[in-house]
Parts: sequence; structure tokens; C-alpha cells
Amino acid sequence: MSVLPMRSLLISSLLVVLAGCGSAYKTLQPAGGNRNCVEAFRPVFGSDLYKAQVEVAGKNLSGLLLIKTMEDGSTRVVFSTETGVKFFDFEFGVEGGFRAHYVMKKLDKKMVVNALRNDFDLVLMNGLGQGADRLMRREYKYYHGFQKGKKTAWYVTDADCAALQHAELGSRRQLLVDARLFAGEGKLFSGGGQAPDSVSIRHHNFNFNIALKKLDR
Amino acid sequence: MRNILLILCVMVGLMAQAQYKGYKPVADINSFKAAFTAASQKIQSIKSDFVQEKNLSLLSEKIVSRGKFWFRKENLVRMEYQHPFRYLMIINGNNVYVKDGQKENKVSTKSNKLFQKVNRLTVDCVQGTIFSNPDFKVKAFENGQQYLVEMIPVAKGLTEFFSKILVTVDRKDYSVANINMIEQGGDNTLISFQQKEINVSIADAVFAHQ
Repeated sequence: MSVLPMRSLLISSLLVVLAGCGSAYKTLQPAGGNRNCVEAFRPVFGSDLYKAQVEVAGKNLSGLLLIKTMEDGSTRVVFSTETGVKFFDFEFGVEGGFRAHYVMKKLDKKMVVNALRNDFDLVLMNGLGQGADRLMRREYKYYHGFQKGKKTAWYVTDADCAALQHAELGSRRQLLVDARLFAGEGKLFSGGGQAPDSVSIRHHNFNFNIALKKLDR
Repeated sequence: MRNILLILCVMVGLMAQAQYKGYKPVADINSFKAAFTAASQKIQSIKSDFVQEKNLSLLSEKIVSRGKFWFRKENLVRMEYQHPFRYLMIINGNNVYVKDGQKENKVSTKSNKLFQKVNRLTVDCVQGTIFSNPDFKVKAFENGQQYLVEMIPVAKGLTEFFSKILVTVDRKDYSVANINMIEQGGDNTLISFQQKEINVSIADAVFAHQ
């Protein structure tokens, strides 16, 4: 192979790689509209039990996840095996606070706890404050952005803000986590003071996925 | 000074008596162990329903699940959760098979010390060999209907999960009525065995899996 085609191949490969590294949010355009509408999609949990499937680094883990709203308004999220051995017990405060009441030794690593905290913060719509900090759009999807430190929680709706398409947690350039909430029979979750029937959480920067399905107790 | 000592002795005595309401320490622990082991050796199989209650004390919450339980000597166990979810666990010697929905998993307890200990505990409870399990310090209490066996874990790995395990044994046939696993934080998991059928024939297929 001559030097020229070789160099072209290298350049085109680099371009492909660089395009892959491009910001996931670069194509978002500022949009006008109601910045408070996603509040209606906040799930309301009483004491709801979910069957949980967790896939982490190619390994499967299953168990029961209890989400309970306490009298003081905080939310407790407790994950245990089917046979009753507890993995973790987290408390999410009304103002965005967080406390790990218990974490099994094997899971008790800062990265794991932070990842789980971010995931449930995103699903519970915890600590969002009043109204979105930014409202952006890409084609027919509207991105309601809430700043969370260096990251942004995005709640993606249609133009009328009638349905929550999905939620995302992103850094400035990268999509980190997406969460999808369903009302049952595959219908998009529309809030209405209910708890979702199923939830799927997918991490994009490492192999870690959570699927929840509500149980009739 | 003598009065204070006397009061302290009485208080300690009362506390020991009140450790488990309605129970007193078994007077002759050796004859209880012998009777328990002898009776358990006559148990070839157990078929039973079970109810599992996970009590989350600080949340005032109880998670209840139900299912079927099978045991056959020497060490075959099938535990099938049927409500509110389906989950199957089969212990066959050193192998554990788990089926959860469409997902299946096979684990050899040889590769996991904790699994090995939990496996041994399950089999020891139904087989009556809990007194010889070195992972626990064991004491026994009794009342007119039941024995209460207190198991305090001493083995590393188990102490992280349980502060103690209480096994209630029916006096009439020395079969296990319930197992109460109490965690360090005060939460507990109580598994009660109901409609027990002792020494009924259980087909090999019950403990088989694809």
C-alpha cells in the first residue's frame, strides 16, 4: 500500500473516532416553553415493591427493591435478595439529601454508591429545585435540564410536555445514564401521582443496567 | 454493698429468664442435643409450604413472600417462591441452581465460602445437625410446645449479615417450625414452615434441573 492511501485511511479513522467522541448535547438548540412542566412526571411512591434485575460487568443479580415514602417526605430505597439478605438501604431527603443507612461490604465502594445514588436521584426526580435551568430541543424532543454539580439531569418530553420520553444524566459532553419509566403495557409514564409500573436504567460509560418491575403484593 | 450485689444478681437472673419470652433455658442440654439429633436422623424428607417475612424495622415495613419447600436426605433442598414473584433455588450437595424468570444460574458452593456456610446452615437446620456447626455458638431454650435454638454466628462472613439466628423446633416431632435470621441493624427475616409432611416420598425430578 502506498503512503497516501495509508494516510487517508488514518485520517478517516481518526475522524470517525473523533465524531464518536463528539458531545452528545452539541446539537441541542435553545427552546422556549414551560420550564416547570416536568414536575408533573415526578413519580409518587407509597410503599412499592419491585422485582429487580441488575446486570453488572456481565454478571446478573436479582432481588427485591422496596421504595417507600416516609412520613417526613424522604424516600427509602432498600434492595435485598429474594431470600432476605440486604444489599443496601438508602435514604433520599426532600431537599436532595442522601444517606446510606446500610451497604453490604462487597458493594460498599464510593463509585458504586455514587452511581446508585445518581440513578435513583434521576428516577425519583430528587433535588431538582424549581423549574428547569435550561430548556433545549432536538427536533421534536424537548430537553428540560437541571444542573446537578458538573452534571445535568435531563428530562426529555414531547413538545406539549404531555409524556416523559425518558430521563438522562449527562456530563457536559457525554450521556452517562438513561432511565425509562413505563406506566404498564409499555405505555410511557405520565406521572399523575402514581408510581411507575416498570423502570429501566442503563449506564453508558460502564456495563451496569437495572430493570425494575412492580409486584402486586 | 451486699444489698447492691444481691439486687444485681436478681436482675441478671431475671434478664436471663426474660431473654426469650415464654422460654426457659433447656435444663439438660446434652440430652436435648441427643434427642434432637436422634429424632432428626429419622427425618428422611420434608415437604412444606413456607411464608417468608422480611421485617424492615425502621421503615415499619414487612415484605411477605410465599412458596413451597422440599428437603430430602442427605442434602437436597428445593425452595420455590411463588408469590408475589417466582424464584426457584435448588441445592444439590455443593451445587446451587437458581432460576429467576428466564435467567438461570448455577453456582458451586466450593467457590464461595459464604454460600458454603449458608448452604450448610440450611441443611443443618432441617437435618438436626446444627449443634455441630462450628460457625455458630449454640444455646437452647424450651417451653411446653417448642424448643428455641439460639445460634450466634462466630464465623467471619456470617457476622456481617446476622447478629443471631433463632430456630424454633416443634417438640412433638423435632421438626423446624421457623427460622428467624436477625440482622445487626435489627431487621429480620422469618421463614415459617406450614403444612409440613414428614417422610413422604419426593421424586428425584423435584431436585432436578435442566
